[in-house]
Amino acid sequence: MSRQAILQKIRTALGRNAGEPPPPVPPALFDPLPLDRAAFVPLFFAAIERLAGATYRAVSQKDAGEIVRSLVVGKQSVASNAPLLEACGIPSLPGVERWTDREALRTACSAADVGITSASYALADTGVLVMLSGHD
Amino acid sequence: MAVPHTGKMKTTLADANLQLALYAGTGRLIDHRRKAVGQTIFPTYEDLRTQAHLIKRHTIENLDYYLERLESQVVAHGGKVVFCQDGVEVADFIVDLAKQRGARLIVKSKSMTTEEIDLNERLERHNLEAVETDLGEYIIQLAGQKPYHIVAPALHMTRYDVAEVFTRKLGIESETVPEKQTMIARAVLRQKFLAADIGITGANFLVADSGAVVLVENEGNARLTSSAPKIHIAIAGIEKVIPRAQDLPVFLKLLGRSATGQALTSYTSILSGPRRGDENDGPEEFYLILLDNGRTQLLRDPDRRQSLYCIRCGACLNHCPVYRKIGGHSYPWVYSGPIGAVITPQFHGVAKEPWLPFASSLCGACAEVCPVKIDIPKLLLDLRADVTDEKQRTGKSRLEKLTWRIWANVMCSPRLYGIAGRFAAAFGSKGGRWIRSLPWPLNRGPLGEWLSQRELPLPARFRFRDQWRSR
Repeated sequence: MSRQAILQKIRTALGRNAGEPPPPVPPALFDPLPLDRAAFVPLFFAAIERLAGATYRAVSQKDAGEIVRSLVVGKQSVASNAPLLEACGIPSLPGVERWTDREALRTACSAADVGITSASYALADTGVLVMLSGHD
Repeated sequence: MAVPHTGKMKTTLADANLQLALYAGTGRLIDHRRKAVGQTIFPTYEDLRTQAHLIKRHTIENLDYYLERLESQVVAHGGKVVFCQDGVEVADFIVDLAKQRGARLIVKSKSMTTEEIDLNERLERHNLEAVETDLGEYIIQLAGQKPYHIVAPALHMTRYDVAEVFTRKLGIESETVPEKQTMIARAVLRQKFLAADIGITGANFLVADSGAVVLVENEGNARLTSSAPKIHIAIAGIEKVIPRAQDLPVFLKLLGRSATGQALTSYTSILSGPRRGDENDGPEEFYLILLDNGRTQLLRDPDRRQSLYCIRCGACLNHCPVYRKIGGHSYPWVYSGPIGAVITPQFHGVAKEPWLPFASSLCGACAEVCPVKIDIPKLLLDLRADVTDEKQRTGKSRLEKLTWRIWANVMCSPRLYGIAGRFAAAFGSKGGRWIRSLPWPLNRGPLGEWLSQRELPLPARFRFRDQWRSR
């Protein structure tokens, strides 16, 4: 009931009718960073370090696994189910757990020292990692 | 004019520690914002502000269309949308849902919309425990206070104040190291997240074309609130909707920079309904509550509806010389500072807190820093006119009118002006603060309030007229 009342109050205040389409939305503002691709990784590393993060450059999946091994040694860790982590051998490292059961995952995460994920995108200008959740 | 909050203002002004905390806290936010907007960004900061203003104007002018679009998309993604007129309807919905699901414990992330409707208090009356999980909000909830600032709710509290609250409420020996205080709160809240039945968040933006709820935060607590419990409820004002996903970057770039001076906040969550059948994470049920609570009243006036463009960054508070002196608790509602002075009278009527539109020096700093270009000084002037109209309508301005009529008569009559000048010079010749020493009852009421904050210049002992005659 409140739905109709609220929508009707809005339409009355704005002088609009139900189902009336709006005029065109202002054009989207899109102005990409004028950089070539070669600059992306150094820029991303610099942005992460400005945010007090640490970066490592792995030359192979095996190398990535070894870097993670050195970081999690002696710590309780939880890895996500991302295929890239599997390819790097990370779930089989000592001390690293991986769960698919919701309750077990929650309990493990609440006690973990380290969380290990992949990322879908890395944004060069801000140092942001984009993770799409739901599948991993 | 009646000034019911003078008590809070006076205690704030007299508290040197609070003044220091207020000045330092807002000063840090000003510095961070200045550095962030001064950086080279693409598009430019001014282009972003203009675009945000255009998008907000377009959305608000066609609000019913975008709300229905948003609703259809949320439903398509498995969520449910509930329209609520006020706080009572919101609380009734949540209490009913909690009863049906046997829920007792609710975790909440920071939300001014839920503060606006006193949601925690309403839920507690139904034996539901609602725990704030943003660190600042958690501290002020323990202290039994309301947010002091839109973005930094515990801006007014020192680490010693926090230590005292933790000792009193959590039984923890005095701990004054901020990092250790954070770990104490973290340990308590972690257990709450794991045990909670329902998570309640606000929403910074609602994207109509995808049905996404966007949460912007720095602590990760909103992400846990929306994903750990089996039920997620997002509560947002109807004005939070934007048309397209491609408009979102404009607002994300502006919000972080304007609020805390960050290019982006630490966590930006874009949520689209409950988890699907093949997914491990996320809530099993998702509800989006769209709240009116007076917002539709603001739509009536084509100029004033721009008040609904606000994205709650708090920049206008930080830059306001009045807010920086009187602080957040001197304002009568949860929205303080210039934006509070604009929206509170429009939500509750100008007669209720007629002093609010006057709580501004009209310096214009608020409009200069507003990321969506709300013309706050213009709105304040319009509301001042409303206050005057209201006073005339109700006859409350009789004394003021009489005062101005006497003043006008004196200023228009050379003879009366001369007598008044001679009177003033006679007092002036005694030296000192002559008007303040006026006897009771002349130094009471509105005149007393007015004089309490002003030093009047001493009248000349030898008047210009007398000097001119004696040449």
